[in-house]
Amino acid sequence: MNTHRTEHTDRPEEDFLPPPVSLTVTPPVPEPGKAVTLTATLTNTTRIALRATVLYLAVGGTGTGAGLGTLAPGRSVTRTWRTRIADDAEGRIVCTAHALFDVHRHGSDCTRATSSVLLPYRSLRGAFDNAGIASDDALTVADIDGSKSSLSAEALASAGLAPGAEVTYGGVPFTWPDMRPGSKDNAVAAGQTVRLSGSGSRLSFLGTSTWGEGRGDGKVVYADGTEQPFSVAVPDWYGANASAAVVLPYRHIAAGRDDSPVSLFTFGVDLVAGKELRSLVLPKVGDAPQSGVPALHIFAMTVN
Amino acid sequence: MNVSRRRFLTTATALGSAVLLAPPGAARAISGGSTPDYAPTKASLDTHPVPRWYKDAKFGIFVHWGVYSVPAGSGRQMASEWYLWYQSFETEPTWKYHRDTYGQDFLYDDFIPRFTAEHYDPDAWVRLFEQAGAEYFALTSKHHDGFALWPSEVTDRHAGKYGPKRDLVGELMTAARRRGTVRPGLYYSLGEFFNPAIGRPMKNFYTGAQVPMTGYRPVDDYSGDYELQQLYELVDRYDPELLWADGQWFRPAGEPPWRSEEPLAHYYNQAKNRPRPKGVVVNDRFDTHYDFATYEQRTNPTMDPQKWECCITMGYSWGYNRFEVEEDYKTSEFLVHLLADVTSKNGNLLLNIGPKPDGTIPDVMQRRLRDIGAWLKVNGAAIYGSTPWVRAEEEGGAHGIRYTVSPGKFNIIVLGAPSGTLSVPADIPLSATSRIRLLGHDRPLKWARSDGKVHISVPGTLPSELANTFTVDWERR
Repeated sequence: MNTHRTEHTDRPEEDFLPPPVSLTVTPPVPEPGKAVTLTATLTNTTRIALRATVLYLAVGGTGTGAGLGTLAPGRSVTRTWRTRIADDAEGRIVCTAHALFDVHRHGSDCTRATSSVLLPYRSLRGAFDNAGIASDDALTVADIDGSKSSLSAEALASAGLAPGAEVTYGGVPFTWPDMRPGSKDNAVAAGQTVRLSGSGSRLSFLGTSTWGEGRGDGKVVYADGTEQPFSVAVPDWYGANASAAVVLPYRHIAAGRDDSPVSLFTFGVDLVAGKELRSLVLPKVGDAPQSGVPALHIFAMTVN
Repeated sequence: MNVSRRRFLTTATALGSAVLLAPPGAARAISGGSTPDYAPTKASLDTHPVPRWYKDAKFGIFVHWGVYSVPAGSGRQMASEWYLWYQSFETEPTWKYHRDTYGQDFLYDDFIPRFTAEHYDPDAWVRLFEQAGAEYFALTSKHHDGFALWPSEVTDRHAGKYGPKRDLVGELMTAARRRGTVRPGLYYSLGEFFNPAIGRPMKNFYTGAQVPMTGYRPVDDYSGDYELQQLYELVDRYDPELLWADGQWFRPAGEPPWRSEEPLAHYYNQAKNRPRPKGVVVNDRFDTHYDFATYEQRTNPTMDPQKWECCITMGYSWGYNRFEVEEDYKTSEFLVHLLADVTSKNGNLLLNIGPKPDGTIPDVMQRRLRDIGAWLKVNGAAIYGSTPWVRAEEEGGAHGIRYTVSPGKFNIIVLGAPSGTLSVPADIPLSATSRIRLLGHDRPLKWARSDGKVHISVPGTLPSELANTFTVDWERR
């Protein structure tokens, strides 16, 4: 006997579309270290009382819950939570309104609304969202192109690009990502914002493009608020490109080693020399890599 | 052609051994209750709620059984229910395997007489599903090979006439209703690998010659004269709680859209318009409205307020594959962890079994089901009827943790057998007077807060090696 199993009596009034919960985030683009207010309204559009209701409001993984007791049919209740975005917050932060309640003696249910805010990344490394490098004995840990291909960690090391290596191409120094194969080691340029500081005469990138030329527009934002747009057009990684900074003799594909060379490139934008930098908006080329769609991968960048 | 009109005729001329618990005619007579009928449009169907029972159920059994259970694969890691399709390509190992094993003149349909169901005991199947702790099941009423497991009126390609010469669907539905413990559902493949009406006639794949399909009755319109009619038959004759569509990518020539809105509106209306309405549910492969999203052989990594269902095989194949060995099967531990994971994220788990052609269920599958059932007997209070908490999980510790909420309880399901002290974040709902228990253990556990965590003393002997549920009394007022 199992007393917890569903009671096989159908009560149609317990079948309902989820009662709506709304969520607003103020300000819509909060800043790290600053206040943010979440406001949620739960409306009981069902035909039954929602018993033992708790409404949670959360930013990222943490939040607060408020007991609302029983919410009668037709009733609405609003809760507000003011909190502070962590000083070191970056990237996509999901705000959640999650209401849970009991619908019968052995059954609970929930309804949820989410709203995500995109904060600037504090560094390029923080923006890494793709694993593009695998070692020759574990190919499947990385997928640079949405088709399970990847750069070879061994081939990179032979070309001087071991994890954390300092290299110079065309007079520009870069630090190769200090990441183990299979870790997120590059940022797919999709219009995200990365904080910059200091000043220089040129912003340079080290990266490559998969599934065709990576073409898009980004901008540099200076501390005084002025913006400088720029465009990039980075060749496809496949083949030994004469303009490449690095050519690797082989790559990984899903089936194993593929003895076709692949290329990495440097590219960049001239800056207003000496002017203090605030942030960089990466070119909007494409989101997560997928077969047949160009994606621009940035492994390192330097202001000098 | 007016499908609805045809359906009335079908119903009126019914139906030998049919299971008619709520005769559609009688049901229609009392219609006009509190809610308006569903119209055959996506917008109207989208107002259909996911039934409570399906939300509460969390765990169901998928059954893939058919003519493909006879050859039962051509090797390990091969989906046996696709045998016919693989056999049709010279480049596929199954093409050669079939020729070498059965000879090139042995057609797929020659397997039909070997699909005997001689030891098929529907009552024993339902008892096994009960022992597994499953709340529902979905049987392949017709898979992509077009062989119906019930005596369909629009074709002779069915188990009533060929092979078992029994109504395999009806017998299982009857057994389930008689026991009243596990809700019966039916899988149905909209399209088929081969069917003259689809524009892909059956062939001998070695000579290229067209061959007749056993039981095929010519129709003008695959969908209107056959596929939709079969869906109406399933609904009107067997009154299933769940309809699970598949094979929608095998469209008839010209790729016309499926017309699923018609049978789905009828399905919802006949469930609603009866003295005691019941909740029914459909998946997302009818090419229109759906109640739940299908995650085949994968899970949803995040909590999703849209109800979803993970369907998954124990081994590699959905249909019985006699080449699979025990090490190809997911462990009971894996499956219990999966059930907890799926539950914590608002999903259901539909776990597959593939019976043999004689109707017996392979021993390894029975053992996995009974292991899950034994675990649910102790831990079911944290699964059935539960709902996701604001955060689904914790990872990174010695064992993964999944959270669920049920009336009066906050449940911490530990994926594994922790020892010493279990530490969880301090934001779990817990007051100074809260009691924490371990399901399957008789005394409350000691706990304390420190360093921003809640530390729970774990008993030396645990109820399960697979996963253990620590449950907090939580009066939500």
